[in-house]
Amino acid sequence: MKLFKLYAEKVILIFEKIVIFRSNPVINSFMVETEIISAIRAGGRIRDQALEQIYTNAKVKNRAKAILVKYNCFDTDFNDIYQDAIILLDKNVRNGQFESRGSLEAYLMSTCKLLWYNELRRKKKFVDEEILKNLENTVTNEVDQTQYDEDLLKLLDLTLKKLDERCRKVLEMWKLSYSMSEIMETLGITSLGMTRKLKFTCLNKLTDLIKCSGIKPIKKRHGQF
Amino acid sequence: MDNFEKIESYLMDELSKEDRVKFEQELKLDLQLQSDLEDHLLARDLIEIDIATNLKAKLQGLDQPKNTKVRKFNFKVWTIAASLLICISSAWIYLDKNYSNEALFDKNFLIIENQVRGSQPSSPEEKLNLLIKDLENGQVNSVGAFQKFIDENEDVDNEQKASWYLALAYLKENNIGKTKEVLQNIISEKNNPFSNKASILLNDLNNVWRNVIN
Repeated sequence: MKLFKLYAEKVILIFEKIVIFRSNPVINSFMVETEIISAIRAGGRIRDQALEQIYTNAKVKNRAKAILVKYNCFDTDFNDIYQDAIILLDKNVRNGQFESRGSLEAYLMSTCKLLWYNELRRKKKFVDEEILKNLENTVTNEVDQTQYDEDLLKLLDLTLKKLDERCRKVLEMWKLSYSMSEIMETLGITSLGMTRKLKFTCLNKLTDLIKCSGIKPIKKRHGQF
Repeated sequence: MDNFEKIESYLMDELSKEDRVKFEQELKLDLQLQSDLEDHLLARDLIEIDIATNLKAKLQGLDQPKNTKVRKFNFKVWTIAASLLICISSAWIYLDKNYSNEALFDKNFLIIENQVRGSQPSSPEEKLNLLIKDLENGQVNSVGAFQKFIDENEDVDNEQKASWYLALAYLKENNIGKTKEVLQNIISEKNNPFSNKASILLNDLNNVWRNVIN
């Protein structure tokens, strides 16, 4: 009977460990700021983990909320802005546009303010001019945000969305710096050579579709409306 | 090398210094190359949009109440754990009921006890019956009493019967080594009426499942 109890306790312990591990995927891999930046640059699965860590950091999120609430940015809008700020931060870190420009947190705050400023300008009618001016004064030029005109959405429909899921996944993984072997493994391709060929073919197909569409969206930097 | 490959190598920073300079000079003069490069950059921006869309969905997913996720997972895990525990408990109960020393004693004692009840209350048999009753009632030192009976008794039938009960007495005391020894003696005796029962009991005692519960 003692052996049985011991066995049952061991089974429960193993399951508890699984529950704790699954509900806290980064529990044993907390990253400091420099590690987060390296992880985003490195791409692959570690990037996902780093972005999740930033996004789920309640302290940082609350600080951003406290800043934006002064400019009439409340819950629903805030969540959207904060997510977009993380997306922009991810892109700028990967593209090398974030380089020793203060802390990552400060950069994230500036990004939030810039995105909210753009959003307020977009719906100018409903916003107090004073709030907009106040925010304008605090928005710095350190965040790069490139935007296109609405033609880009048309182009997206005619090109990338025309590619099959496999092609889109290859291109996404490649752009996120996944290694060829990671792409091969994820997509179940049999060799590295075939993986490279698939990436090449898909990118070629995409550029051909862009050519055929005849659409040339116009690039805009932030502040241009 | 066609334009696509050239541009790809240029953007991936895979060109040598000279080839890079050459490419950039060519780019200034070649309108087609300029247009191709533009398309190439546009393709990258489109992929970035796809990445952003996917990341947005992921982040929105993180905002979903975590409890639901954990509860869902817990339910699965605990269902498996509960099923496992039920299986283990059932197996345990089954093994305990069939292979424990107590279970084997009860199984084997009852059968012979009925046979004994029909015997005449003559002196050696009556004595043996009393010893068997004592064993059933859990009397202390049944082993010694049966051993003494065997040593003093001259009748083969009574001796064979007493040997069988001696084995059961050892079993009741959880002395498996001695039980097996007595059973092996019974099995080795020719024409011993308890030989079959002794074989069955010995097999039960050697059953691998007994190691799990004992």
